[in-house]
Amino acid sequence: MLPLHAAAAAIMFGAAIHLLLSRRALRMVLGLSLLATAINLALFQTGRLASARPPLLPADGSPAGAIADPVPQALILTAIVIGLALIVILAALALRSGSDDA
Amino acid sequence: MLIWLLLLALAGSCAAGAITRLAGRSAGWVLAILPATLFASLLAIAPGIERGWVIAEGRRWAPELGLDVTLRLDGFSFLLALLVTGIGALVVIYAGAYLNERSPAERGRFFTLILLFMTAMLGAVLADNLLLFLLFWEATSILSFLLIGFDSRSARARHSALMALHVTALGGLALLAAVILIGQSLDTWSMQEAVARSAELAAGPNGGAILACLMLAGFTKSAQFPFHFWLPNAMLAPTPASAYLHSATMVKLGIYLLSRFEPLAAAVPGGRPVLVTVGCATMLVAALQALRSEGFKTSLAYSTIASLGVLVTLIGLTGPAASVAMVGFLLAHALYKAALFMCAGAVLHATGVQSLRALGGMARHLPLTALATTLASLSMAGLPPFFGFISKEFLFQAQIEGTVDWIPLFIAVLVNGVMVAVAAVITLRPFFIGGPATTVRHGETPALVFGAIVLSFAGLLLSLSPDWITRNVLRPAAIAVYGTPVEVQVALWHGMTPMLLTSGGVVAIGGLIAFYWRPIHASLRARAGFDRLSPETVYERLLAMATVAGERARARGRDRRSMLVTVVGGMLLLAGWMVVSAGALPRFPGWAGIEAGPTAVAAVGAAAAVAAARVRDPLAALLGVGAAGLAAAVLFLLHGAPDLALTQFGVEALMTMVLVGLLAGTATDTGRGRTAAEARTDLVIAVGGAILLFLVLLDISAVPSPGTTSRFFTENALSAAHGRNIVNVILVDFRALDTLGETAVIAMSVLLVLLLSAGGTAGGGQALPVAPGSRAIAWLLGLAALWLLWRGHQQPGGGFAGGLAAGLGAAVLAIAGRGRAPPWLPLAACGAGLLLMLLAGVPGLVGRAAFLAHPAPLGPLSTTLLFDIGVLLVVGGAIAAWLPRFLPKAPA
Repeated sequence: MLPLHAAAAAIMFGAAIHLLLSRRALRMVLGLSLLATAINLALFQTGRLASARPPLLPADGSPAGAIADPVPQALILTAIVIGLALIVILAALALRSGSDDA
Repeated sequence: MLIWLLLLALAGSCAAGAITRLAGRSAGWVLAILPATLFASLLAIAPGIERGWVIAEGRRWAPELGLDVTLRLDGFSFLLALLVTGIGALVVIYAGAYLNERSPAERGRFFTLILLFMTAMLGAVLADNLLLFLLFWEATSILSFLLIGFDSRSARARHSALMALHVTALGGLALLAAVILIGQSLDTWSMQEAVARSAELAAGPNGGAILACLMLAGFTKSAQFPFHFWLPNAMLAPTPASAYLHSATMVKLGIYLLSRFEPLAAAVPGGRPVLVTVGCATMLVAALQALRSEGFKTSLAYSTIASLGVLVTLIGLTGPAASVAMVGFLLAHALYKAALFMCAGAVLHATGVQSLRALGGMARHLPLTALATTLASLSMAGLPPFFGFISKEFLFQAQIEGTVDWIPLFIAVLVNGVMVAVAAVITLRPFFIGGPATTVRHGETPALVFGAIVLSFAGLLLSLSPDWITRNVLRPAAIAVYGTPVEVQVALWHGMTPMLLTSGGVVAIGGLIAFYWRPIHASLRARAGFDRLSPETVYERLLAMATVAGERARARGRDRRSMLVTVVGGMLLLAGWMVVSAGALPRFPGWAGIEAGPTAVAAVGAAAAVAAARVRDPLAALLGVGAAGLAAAVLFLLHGAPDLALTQFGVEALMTMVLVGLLAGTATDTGRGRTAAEARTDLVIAVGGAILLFLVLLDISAVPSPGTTSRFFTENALSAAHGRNIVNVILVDFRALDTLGETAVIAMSVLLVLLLSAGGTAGGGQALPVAPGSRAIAWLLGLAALWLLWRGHQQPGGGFAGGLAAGLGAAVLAIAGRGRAPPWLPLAACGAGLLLMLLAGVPGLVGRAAFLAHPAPLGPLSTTLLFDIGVLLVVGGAIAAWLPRFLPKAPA
């Protein structure tokens, strides 16, 4: 499974860079948004996709068998929300420079 | 005790603005209570200092960095601390009168800056930890910059402020390098220990470099040649700042540093000669410039530079007499020079005239100022019975007894002669010679002459009755500087000594120069070489060159695409080089466990991303990016990350709303497209980046994860943190401080967005077809938010997911144009959320003595829930604040 996911993340990464290098403000913002997604996916794979079972513990506290790696998940979770904040700031900036030009 | 003095000073400075407003005209007298209190508290320690006690105290601050608040008060620090607080009190009183024509806001700003400066200066002379010392040192540079540029509407003031900052910041960088090198060499950050182990430092590989950096720092701060030029320009600061920073205290900080590290200068070959040479060069240049200068304050500034040169020379000389002379001269100079600056300011304030040649006969209008000037000038000229005379005797004694040959002595005699002449000129010309030529706008006010009178009489009283100052200040300071006990004999009459004869010669030279001042001044002014060859000209050239180079780079970088291509391409090249230089081929993880479902989703995501990059239509590109994001969310869900999936779904929905708003707002996209060549370049960079990431990910995936961190969290989540959702436990408990920081970033982004769109597109939305039922949807989302929050610690959910749900609810309402909340509500939610997160950390301080260490829960309630509610409020509030900015304007 891992090579395919690596390929998907890498393709998204390339597409994001291509969008980012555009001269148009909207495409740059889109590129950054896609970049965040690609990097989050890449980060997710450092957990090696160990298991499809979520990192939730049963009532007795010890999981019976492999569970997904919780550490990358905790990293990505805040990264997703901060990514949104970043895009919003950039969008406000783009909106402002757009209205100043007009 | 010392730390409380510092905290008191800091608190007082912060309150200065408000106090100025309340106290009105008498603000100077009221605010002077602060430095006067500090001065009195220090005086109370004097008996201990007399016995040679050293007060040391420390608090841990950031021990991992070696940064601890360790303070140390010995005799030398005591002398400087007394000067800082004592002259500080007089300067604050003086400033109250000097700035009486300014607005209350400006006066408040000045008092705040000058008291903050006092705090920084006090901290610098008390600090023992070198990092702490550096912090205070830099603070004095920055406050000096702000005070020189106080009249920020004057281009000259701004230029001078920047010049002073450039020069002193250069020294600050050198000091940083020296401190780091000392820390690396000795594994200590204590200044006292570093000085005590000077021999070890000097023997080490970095001894010379450390000394050179320390010298650069000291020379720039204390205006030594060739860095002296910033000080005369700094005279554009209001006179109280000139008197305080640029003669009495801040410029002595470099002297303080150099004399602390004198043992190192002695241990490194060539250290002492450099000090003597630089000091003498400074004296000579400054003396000539003092004779050239036309302005009252400028000539005082050059005489200050000359005095600083004397001090540096004394540090360079060996023997106990040099230390005694250095300490004595430092005190004498601070007293008379601050007084003279205050008098110069009083004249300037009363007449508005700067030039020495235009002033005359002022003694009639300003009798007390004339008296203070006369007394201080006599001390500066080194005539008995003033304190300046005693310190000058010490100076010559040190030189005659020192090991250095006669050239420095000759220079010192000559320069002291010039000082006599300058003293005569600035006293006689403006005050006693000439008729009633200058018209005055006002007479003397008590506050305007108080400081000058106190300081100039102190110069007289200290020499007539030198016992107290010798026992409590001079001897302890000299001992602290010299390292071992020294004998300090202060008396006006030592008998017929070589020193007395030298002094006589000095007075004779001074008298001659003063008598022929006019022709000497005129002929020196006529020589343009002084200006053409000065270091100041070099500085201006360098500045101009840097400006031109920056302008060129800016012109080249105006096309942001070419800049981005350079940056992104460069980063990828660097990363690629790192991979190649590691010399290993990427390992391959194997194809095990391919499943149809995830494969299809990954393929859809990749295809959507490529499509987004290829299509021209912006809306289609937006949809492509959104589809890739949703694919990522599904992949998270399929691989055991329901929390991520929840978050990603919510974010994708919000992102689409924001981006559609952006699309509507910037309908006219003005940028031109790429040329065929540019498109090829971009394609190469994009494909190269993709291949690089692919190889890196393959290599990572080929080796199993060590998993130690994950195992720790898995094993302790339930027993230590009482949660079964490990991801949530990490966020709100184990790594709660990280989460607090990240949430604060989100809250700050709200402020940024509000500032960016202030008065912009905050129009609010028009009613859309979703309007019917929108309230019901919003309510459902609100309930979902609470439910996600409640179960988050045990099951998928939590504050982030809940906050996104609540934000979506607010978004639905906003789009429908319904139930618009008052604009302050989202901001208040953000603030309350942050506050709640901070409060949730407090109980941990009580129980386990660590911030954000959550105590065991009471049933289902615990501080982690409080923390998560805070996260929800910040995220939800942020979204509710952002979104209305991106909704299309309602048609008018």
